[in-house]
Amino acid sequence: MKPNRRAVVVTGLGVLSPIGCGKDSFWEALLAGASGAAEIRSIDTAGFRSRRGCEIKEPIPVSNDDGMVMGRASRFAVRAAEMAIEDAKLNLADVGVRRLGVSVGTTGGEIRVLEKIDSLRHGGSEADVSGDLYAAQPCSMISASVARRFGCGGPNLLISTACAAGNYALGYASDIIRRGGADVMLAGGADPFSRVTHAGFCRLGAVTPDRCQPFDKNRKGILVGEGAGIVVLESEEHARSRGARTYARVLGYGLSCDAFDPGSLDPSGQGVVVAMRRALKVAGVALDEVGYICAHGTGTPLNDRVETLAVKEVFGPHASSVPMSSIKSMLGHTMGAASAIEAIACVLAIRDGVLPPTINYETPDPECDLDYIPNTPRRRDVDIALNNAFAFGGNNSCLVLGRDR
Amino acid sequence: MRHAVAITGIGVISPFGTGPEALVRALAARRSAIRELTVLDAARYRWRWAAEISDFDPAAFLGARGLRYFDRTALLLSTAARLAVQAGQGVLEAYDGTEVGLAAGATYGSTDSIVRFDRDVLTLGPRLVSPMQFPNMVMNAPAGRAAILCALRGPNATIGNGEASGIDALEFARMLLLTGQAKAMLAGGVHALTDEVYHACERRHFLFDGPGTWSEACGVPGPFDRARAGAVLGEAAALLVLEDVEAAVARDATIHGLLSGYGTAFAAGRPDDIEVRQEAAVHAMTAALAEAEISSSEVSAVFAQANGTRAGDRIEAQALSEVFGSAMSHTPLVAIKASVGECLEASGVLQVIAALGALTTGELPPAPRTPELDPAWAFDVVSDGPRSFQGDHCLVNAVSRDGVASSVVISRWPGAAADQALTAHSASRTGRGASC
Repeated sequence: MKPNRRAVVVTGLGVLSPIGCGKDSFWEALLAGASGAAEIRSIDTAGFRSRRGCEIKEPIPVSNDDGMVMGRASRFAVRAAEMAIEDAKLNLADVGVRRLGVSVGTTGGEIRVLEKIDSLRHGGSEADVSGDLYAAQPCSMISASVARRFGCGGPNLLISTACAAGNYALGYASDIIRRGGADVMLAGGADPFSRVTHAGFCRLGAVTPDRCQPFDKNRKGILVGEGAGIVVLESEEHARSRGARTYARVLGYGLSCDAFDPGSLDPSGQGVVVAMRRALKVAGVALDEVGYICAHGTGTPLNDRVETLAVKEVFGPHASSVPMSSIKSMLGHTMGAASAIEAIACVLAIRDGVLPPTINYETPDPECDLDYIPNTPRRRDVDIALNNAFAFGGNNSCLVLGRDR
Repeated sequence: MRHAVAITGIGVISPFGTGPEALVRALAARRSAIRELTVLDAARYRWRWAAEISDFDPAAFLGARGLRYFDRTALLLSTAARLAVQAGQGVLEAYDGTEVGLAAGATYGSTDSIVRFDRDVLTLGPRLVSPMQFPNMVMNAPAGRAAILCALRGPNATIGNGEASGIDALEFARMLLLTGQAKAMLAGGVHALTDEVYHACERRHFLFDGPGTWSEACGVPGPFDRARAGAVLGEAAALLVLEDVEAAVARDATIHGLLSGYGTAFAAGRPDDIEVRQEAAVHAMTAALAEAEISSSEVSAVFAQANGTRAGDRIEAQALSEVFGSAMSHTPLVAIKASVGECLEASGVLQVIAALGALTTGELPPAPRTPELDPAWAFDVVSDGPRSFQGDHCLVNAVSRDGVASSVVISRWPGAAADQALTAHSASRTGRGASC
C-alpha cells in the first residue's frame, strides 16, 4: 500500500435520509430494502410531470442559539454533524480549535432560501424579504453553520460539485488530515429537496413516474431526494490516542472531468474510468481487493449503462465478481448528499459484512449485466469498498474506503 | 518551501482587459475601473457603481458557436481558462489531458440563473421551463463548461467559500498536485456582476454607502481609509497554471513565481464578532508564513484583502498589526480594490497576480488615492506612485464575510533570472477606466 503520511479513520456517522435518520435506523431500513418514495409535500407540485420524491418526513431539530437565519441545507448539515460527533463520542473541547475543520459538499446549497426569496418577491414585494434571508443564502453558509455550531476554527470548505460533491468533501478532508492541516474534520454532504431541482429533472424527462429501478431493463429515471451525511474523520493517531472506535479508513479518492456535456454523462464512460482508476491508484488498492462497489446508480437509462460499461473496463475479468448496488433505489437521489450517505453505507457494510441491495430490480438488462445485489441484502465480508459519484459539469469522484486494521 | 508549487501561466480577464500585463499596467498607472454600472440595470440600486467588464466579447475568445446557454460567470471563467491555457507554455501538450484539471472559486455565480429558472417555474409552470438552462442551476456549471471548451479532463472542482473561494481553490489545486491526483491545475476564481448578487450585497449593507455622487466617488475612500464606507463590486475571472516545480523545470517552463505557503482558519463565532474574525485572520497569515518557512520580517509586501468595508478592513488591519507588530509601519501594503473593485471570489487571485507583477516588474502598484489612514494603524500603504520593489516574498490575504480567512505566500522563483513574462508583451487589450 502506498505510504500515506497519516492514516485517516472514520469514527462517527451522522445521516439524515428519506428512509431514516440516525445511522441505526438508516442502516436497518437499507438492509430491509425500505423505500423513501412518497407524494411530495414540501413544494406545491401542481403542474409538475411527477409528484413523487424522497423527502425527509421527520422534523430536524436544530438549536439556533445565535438567532441567525439558517436554511434547510445548513440545518441538515448541522444536525447530521451533531449525530456524527455524538456517535464518535468526541469531546470537541479536547480538539484544538484550529485542528478541527469542516468540509461539506452540495448541489443546490441554500437553494430553498433562494426559492423562498423568489416566492416572496413573486407574490408580494421586495420589502417582504428580510436582509437576514439574503445573508442565509450563499452556499458557504452550510459549512460555516456547522463550524459555528461546533466551534470548528480549522479549514472550512464548501465544495459545490453537484451530485459528486459528497465524495469530494470526504476525499479532500482526508487529504487535509493526511497532510497535517487538521486532526479532525467533519465532512460530508447536504442537500434539501428543491422546486428548481425537481422541475429541472422533470423537464429533462429524467424523473421516473413511479419507482426508481437502477440497472433494471425498465428503469425510467431518478426520484429527487434530500438528505445529509456527515462523518467524523480523524488522523489515526488522534483516534487511537483518545481510544476511539474506528469504523473504517479513507484510503484515497480519484477525481476527473468528462469535459463532454454540462448536463449529461459521456456515454463512452471514459471520464468515469479515469476517476475510478485514479482512486484505486491513489489508495494503493488492487482490483481484486475491492469487495463492494456502491454505485452512483441513479436509475436513468444512460447512467446505469455507462457506469456498468466503465466498471467492466476498469475491473476487466473481476467486474462480474464485485457486487455493486445502488441505494438510490431506496433513497432517491439526494444530490450533493448522495455520495456522503453512500460512503456511510460503505462504512457500515465493511463493519457488518452485509451489503445493501438494489431494490425494485425485476428485469435484467443485457447492457447492465453485473451483480447488482437484487432486492435482498447479501452477507459478504468486505475489506475495501469503492464509492462512485458522477455529476453535472462532468465532475466525477470515486472514494475508496477500507477496513481499519 | 518544501510544498511549493510553480506558477507557470496566468489567465485573467478583468475590468482592465485581458492578460496580466493589462492589469499590472493599469494598477501601476493608478487607474480605477470603477464607473457607472452598464451591464446591470442600475436603476434598481441605490449605489450604482462598479468595476465592470463592459466591453466583454466572449466570442472573441471562445468562438461564436455553442455559447448560447452560458451564463456570464461561465463565459468569464471559460475566457480565463482559455487565456491560461494559452499562457501555460504548452501545458496541455506537456501532460495528458486527464492530468490537467481546473479548480474554480465560485460561490454566487449560479444565483441569477437559479432565480430566473425558479421564476419561470412560478410564472410559466414547470412544464415550460427550459431544459437547456437547467444545467446552469448547479454552481459547478461554469467550471464544467470551461473544462469542455479547453478539454481539461483532470480533476474539476468548484469551491464556494465566498471571498476566500479563489485562494482556497489555489490550495485545493496545490493539494491535488502534491497528492498525485493531477500534473497541472488551472486554479483561481470568478465573479460576474449579476443582478441577484448585486442586490443581495446591497441588502446586506456590504456596498459603499457613503455620501457623494460619481465625481466624488472617483475618490471613493479607499481601503484602510478612516472614511471608508463599503465595498464597490467588480467582476473578473483569474486563473493560474500550477504545477510541480521540478516538472516545470524539466519541461523548461518559465516559472513566474511560487505558491510557497498557505494558511486558513474559520472564525467560529457570530459574523459580527470582530475579535474572533481577527484571530482567524492572524492564524491564516501565521500559518501561511510558517509553511513558506519565512518569518514576518521576510515578507516584502502585503497584498491586502482591503475592500473598503468598515468591518473587513478593521479585521485585517488589526490582524496585520498583530502578526507584523511595529514592522507594519515599513512593510509596504498594496490595496488594489479601489482600482478593480471587490471581485469577490476572484479577488484573492487578482491580488496574487498583482504580487506576481511586482516580482516581475520590480514595482509595487499604488492605490488610486492616498488614504487618510485611521490613526490606529501606522501602515505604509503604497499610494503616491509605483514603488521600487526588490523583495522575494509577498503575503496575500482573503477574508470572507462568512468567516473564512485564508492567506498565501507568493515567492520569487530563486532558480531563474528575472522573468519578463509580464512585461515582454504589450497589453493585448486596452483597459478602461478613469484616472483618479
